[in-house]
Amino acid sequence: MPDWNEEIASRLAHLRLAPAREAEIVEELSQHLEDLYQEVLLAGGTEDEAHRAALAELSGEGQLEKELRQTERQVIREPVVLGARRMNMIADLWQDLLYGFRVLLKQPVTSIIAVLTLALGIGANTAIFSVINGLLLRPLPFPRPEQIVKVSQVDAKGQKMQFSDANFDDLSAGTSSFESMAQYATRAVSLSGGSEPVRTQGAVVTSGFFNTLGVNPIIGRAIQPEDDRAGSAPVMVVSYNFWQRYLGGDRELSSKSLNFFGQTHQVIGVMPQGFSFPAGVEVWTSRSLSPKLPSRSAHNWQVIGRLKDGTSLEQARLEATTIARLLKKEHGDKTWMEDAAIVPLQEELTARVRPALMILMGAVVFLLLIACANVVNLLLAQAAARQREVSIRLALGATRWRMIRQFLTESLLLVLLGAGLGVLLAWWGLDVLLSLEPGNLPRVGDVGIDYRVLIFAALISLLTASLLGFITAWRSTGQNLNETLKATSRFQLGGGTGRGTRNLLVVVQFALTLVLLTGAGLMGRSLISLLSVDPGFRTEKSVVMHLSHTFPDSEAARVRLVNFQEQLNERLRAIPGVQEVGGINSFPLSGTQNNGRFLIMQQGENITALSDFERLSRDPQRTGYADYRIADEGYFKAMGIPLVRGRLFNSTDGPETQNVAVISESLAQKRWQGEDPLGKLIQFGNMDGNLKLFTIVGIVGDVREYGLDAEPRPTFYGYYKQRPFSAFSVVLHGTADETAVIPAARDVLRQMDANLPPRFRTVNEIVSASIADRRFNLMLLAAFAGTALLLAVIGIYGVTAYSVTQRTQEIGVRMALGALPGNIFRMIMLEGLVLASLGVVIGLVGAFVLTRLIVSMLYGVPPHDPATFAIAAALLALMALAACYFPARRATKVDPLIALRYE
Amino acid sequence: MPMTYIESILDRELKKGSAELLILSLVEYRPRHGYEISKLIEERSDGVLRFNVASLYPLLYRLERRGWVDGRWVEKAGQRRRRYYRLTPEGRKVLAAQRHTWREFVAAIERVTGLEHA
Repeated sequence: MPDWNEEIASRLAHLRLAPAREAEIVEELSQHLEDLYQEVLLAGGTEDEAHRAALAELSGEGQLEKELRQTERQVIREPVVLGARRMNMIADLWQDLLYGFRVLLKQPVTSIIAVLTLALGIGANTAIFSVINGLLLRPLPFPRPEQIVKVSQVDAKGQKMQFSDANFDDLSAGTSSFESMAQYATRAVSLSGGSEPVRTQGAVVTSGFFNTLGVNPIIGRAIQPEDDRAGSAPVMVVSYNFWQRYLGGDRELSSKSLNFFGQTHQVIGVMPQGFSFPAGVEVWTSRSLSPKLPSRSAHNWQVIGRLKDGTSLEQARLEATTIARLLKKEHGDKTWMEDAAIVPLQEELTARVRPALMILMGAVVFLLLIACANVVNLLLAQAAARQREVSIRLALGATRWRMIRQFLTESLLLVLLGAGLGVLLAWWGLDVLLSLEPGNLPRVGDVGIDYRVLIFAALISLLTASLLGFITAWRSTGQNLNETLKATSRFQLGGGTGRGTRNLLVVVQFALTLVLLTGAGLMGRSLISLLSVDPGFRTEKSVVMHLSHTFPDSEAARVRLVNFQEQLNERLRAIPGVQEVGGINSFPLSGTQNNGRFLIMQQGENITALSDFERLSRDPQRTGYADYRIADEGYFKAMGIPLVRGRLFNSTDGPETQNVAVISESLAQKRWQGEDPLGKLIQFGNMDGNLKLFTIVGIVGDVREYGLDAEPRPTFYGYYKQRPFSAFSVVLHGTADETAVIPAARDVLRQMDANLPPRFRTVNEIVSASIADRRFNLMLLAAFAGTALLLAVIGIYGVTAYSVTQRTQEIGVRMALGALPGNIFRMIMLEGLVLASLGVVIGLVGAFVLTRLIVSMLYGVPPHDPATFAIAAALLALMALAACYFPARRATKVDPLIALRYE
Repeated sequence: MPMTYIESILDRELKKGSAELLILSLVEYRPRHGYEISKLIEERSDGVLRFNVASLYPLLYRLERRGWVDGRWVEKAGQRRRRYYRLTPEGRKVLAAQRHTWREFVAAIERVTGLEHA
């Protein structure tokens, strides 16, 4: 049969018609010639005659070309077959978008699943990124925030510590890198004199504080250098909210003064709304009540500084290091400062949360990859159904690139829908996240969805879309027509577009999921081992009442304080259901604690001045280091801390008798190994200025003061009646429920002193809050791992189910040839399991490498804990089995007759 | 039988004038493809009128562009697809008008030349 197409096409060549239009004309005309040719043959003509008759139709001095030129001249606006060569990008994009929409709408279920999966992945990423953005990326809300740094002393072990006055003065006098520097120290304060007594967070600051931050009061003045001097009138700057709440928002400050530590502080300024540094502080006071100490090892101050314009961090560090070395050389053992650390304030503030955030970010990136794998799988399955369409378009002259663009546009459409939903999800999820957050995140107010977050969401969406589109397009446009035909031939074993790719994706998914599961498992086990740690004290049915008394600055005040506390304890003990009441100056697991160096003295020996203390403490034989607490006689019973040896404080101990002390087991072991500490004399006067010696009378059990995950530290307890202290936490324990005890205790206190505001917490709450960070991180990671697991299971189910559908005929043939349903079942299960196992093995290797990154977040479990690895792997394998079970069952139900008949 | 010069001009002009009418008439009641249209013209005119491919299809495309006929690809089992042309509502009006004009023209010719109906 002659080929008319070429004859016709050659006559149209000069017309330069749009390819699609030309193809159409060629097809129609060649059909006509073919009809004519066949007719001549039927009428008995020879092939030659038929051929000539047909060609005659085209003859006539270029008539066809001439006529067509007239009719086809204005053809440009003819719709073009999708994918034909054209140069109009925008029109193409629009066309692709419309087409993409139609494709999505044609498969609503697939599209919805894909969009939801993507929304989950993008949403989780956006949410975690908003936290990172708010905490780590967004600059601090101060002018030129990059110049503000935190300065710390560094000791011989490389540990950062607070500054002593003397070291700070020498450093700030010697350096030229800073525009300004300031000392500050935070403490809980009870204030009276406002509309009601209040307990809040305060900071003692030096005059450079507000200048360094670059923020000034909106009303009144800041703390000035003359306010720093000892003996100057105490002054105070308050936060905007505090001013509104307790000072009535009155602009006339001269009449406002507040009382704390028994001192009247004149209010001199109000900070702008939102200013709160250090976090939570509401009042800033001058240091008039904290005179400069000459000691270089009284590490009482945090230090911030503002670098001069043009001074780099490195220059400042170099200079500070030089000065620190000089000071060390000059003062030797008197200072512990070997070096100085200068860290941008933002970095310093967020250092604690940074590792956890990075790990969570890693986890959500994994989650997004897993989500992408699922969507690619869906799209590939869909693309297989569209193989015919793709082949036709390729045959009609669409380039492969053009087809890839079509797929890219479609996936972009999916991803955009997913991203829109994802950002909504993140917006909503952030609220949930922050409400669950234990309140330990710094700068939590800065967390939100801003333009940076949106740009991030757009970027990951674009990346996701390209990933999806390229994989799908590459896989589904890669075959030529021949391969496609082969692939759809009925006896092709394991045929189907991109099957290899889909299998690979399942393997990757399983590997990523296993890493997440292992991470979550390790953190879960850490939390479990933490919860089973004995803190050294009782947690049930115990309430803590925190109080800040006026600082006892005279002997009479000390007596008043002790009497007050004794009466209070008495009345608290009378509350029904309360059996034990006891107090301590600083409760375990609740923030800053005092510690320091003490001297071991001989019988009959004592010092008369703190300068002697300094001198004697150079002899390591007679010094020890311990946490310093002041407790009353009821404390150990109320806390359930066991007495190991000796005795507790009792009624024979009074202000006039020998000062007694109780020490913890770990202190006994550390300092007096092989010796009996009972009866030893201790000089610990550097803590409160009282040079009376302590005699050790008892040894009690260890307490985890610094966290369940921190080993108990050697602790020294002085007796309250002998060494009174202004801050006191009273523990109430008994048979009564905490909720009943708190209001009763509040009433008791109000009757005794209406100006002393208490703060109540149950011991359980305190313990729980101390591990809240871990619980929060675990919860997030577990949620991500759980979602990943779900997606991976859906992924392997999808691939197996699709493979069974695709191979219905193959299975039919196998059954017709004698395979039993059991064999088929095993075959499908085995294939799924091979994928899962491959993923698990790769995942185990990945987890082995990556869990090292979370070592700092683990407790009581090694990063390569075999049990956790095994459980995670087993769980994943089990889920894979379950996911493959249903498709495998369905495969055994294939009827060979129907399968073979079906084409 | 070879045509004379006069005959060939007459043939062409007559065809040109009547071609649109012929095609529109043939697709009036049912859609037809190009080959069918050319066959019907040849048969029904006993071979007097003939359109070859080079004249028929450009004409069809022109009618289609004017919106008088509508061409569509139709697939039938076991056959290659063909393009079928159907009369559009607008084409129907044009057909009625052309029929009327043609009738008047023929009547006028008859009156002038005294030709009788065959």
